[in-house]
Amino acid sequence: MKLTKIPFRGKVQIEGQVFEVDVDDLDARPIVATVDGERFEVWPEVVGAQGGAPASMPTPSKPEVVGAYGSTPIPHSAPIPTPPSGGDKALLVRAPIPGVIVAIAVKPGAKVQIGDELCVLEAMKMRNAIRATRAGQIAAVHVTVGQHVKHQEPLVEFAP
Amino acid sequence: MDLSHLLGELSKGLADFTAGNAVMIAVGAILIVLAVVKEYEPVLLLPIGFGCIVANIPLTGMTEANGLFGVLYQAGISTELFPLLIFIGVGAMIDFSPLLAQPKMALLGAAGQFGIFGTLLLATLLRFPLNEAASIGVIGAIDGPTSIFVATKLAPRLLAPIAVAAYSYMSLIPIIQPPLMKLLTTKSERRVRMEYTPRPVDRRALVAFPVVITLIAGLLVPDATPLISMLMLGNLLRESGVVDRLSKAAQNEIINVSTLFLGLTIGSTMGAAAFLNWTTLSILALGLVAFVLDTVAGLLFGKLMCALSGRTINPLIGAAGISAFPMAGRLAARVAHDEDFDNYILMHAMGANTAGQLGSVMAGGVLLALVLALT
Repeated sequence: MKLTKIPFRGKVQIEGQVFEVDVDDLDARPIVATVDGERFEVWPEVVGAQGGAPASMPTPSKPEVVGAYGSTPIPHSAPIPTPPSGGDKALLVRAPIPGVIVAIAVKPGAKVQIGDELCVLEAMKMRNAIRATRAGQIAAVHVTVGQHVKHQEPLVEFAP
Repeated sequence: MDLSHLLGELSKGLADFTAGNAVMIAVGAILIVLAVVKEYEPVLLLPIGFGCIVANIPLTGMTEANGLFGVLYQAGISTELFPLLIFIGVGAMIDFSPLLAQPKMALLGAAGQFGIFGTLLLATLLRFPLNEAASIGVIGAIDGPTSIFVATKLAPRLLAPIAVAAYSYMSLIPIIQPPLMKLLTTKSERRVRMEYTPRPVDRRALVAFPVVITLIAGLLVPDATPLISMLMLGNLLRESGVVDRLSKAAQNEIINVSTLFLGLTIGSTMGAAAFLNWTTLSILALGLVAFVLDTVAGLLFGKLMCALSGRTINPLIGAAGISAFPMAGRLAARVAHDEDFDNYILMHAMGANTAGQLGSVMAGGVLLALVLALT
């Protein structure tokens, strides 16, 4: 077991929004990051899967930080829930709220950047743009225009 | 045939036309332009604007007791019939499930009403009598039918400016609220995530809710019963699921016909003599203050809930605790989404917004009861 901590502290800019990120130890699992005063837990399964990579990196690569941004916030006092197993969470974009798909902006094979619009979900008569929280290639689109989606229903899938 | 006599008859209307009439016709035209070009509450501002123009044509007799506007006023405004019919439709359009799934949002709906009482105090300081001050304060909840209902009972003299203020500020929500939201919350507060947790609401609860609320509100605040009971009747039609035709009629025909005649009649009370004075201007100004105070109270309470909950409640939803539905809820969700594109607080904001709708009706009733008891 390693005794030295690898801290990271700095500003991360995503889509023009600047986030204050503070990580106590990049080697710990899960990585506990504080983004704008809010605690996030990150399991860097995508980057860390190759083995040993995070330990040698002075700063986390962009997708990793984005993973922090896209994960569920955990209040300081709340017990730590077990994250869903597998890379499913990072690859699948799910419906954040129930609604109707009114537009789809991507096709399978399309390459998207962080912040690109994937589809538009209308809920309570309000159009909500669902945007990519990671960069990559679209593997599949699971919905069609006009389809009613439930909460957490898969919308778009990224290629691994 | 005496031509000069005929000419005199023809120009009679012109001779009676005053500068005040011209100004009011311009005001009516502005309301119509706002409705057509900017789509600011066109369903109301269009008939109000047109009614205002017609009422300022001299010698039509339409505003007399037996004229069309006079009859409509007696039938629908003096009796509070139109706002109450509108409430049946509004009730049929409200889905209370976001509120029933998150009952703590009811607190935000209550907090949003503090502006009403703040403005009441301010208006009293400006030497408005209590009944008029209370009617002006209700504008803050941005609830058109409630404002009209309360004003009709307490201060019918001020009905037109109060109705115009309530409906104009309703359309100005996207302009008035965001600066206040940004001023009163920090960036990290606006980024507080609220995960949507689907909590299915039991159908029995949805059906029982309107009946229970009517009974509780009716027994506690009898003066609010006309408003609450009609709102809840509409909601019962919707949630019962067995009178789809009545529910649809309430949401379309009943509310549309009532809104048309309500707007037209309110517009017809905008005569030059009654409208062009300092009272109208101060009502418009105080109405804006009331709205700002309501938003500020909601936001501050949202911040308090944010802190008490360990940053699990986004304070922006506090601004949605007013009556304007669904504009206020959508706006809170949009401001949070602009700050963090992966944050969807829409359902929570809607919970606060429905609470605000209920809260403003209750506050209107409480105010009625208090003022009627004191005067």
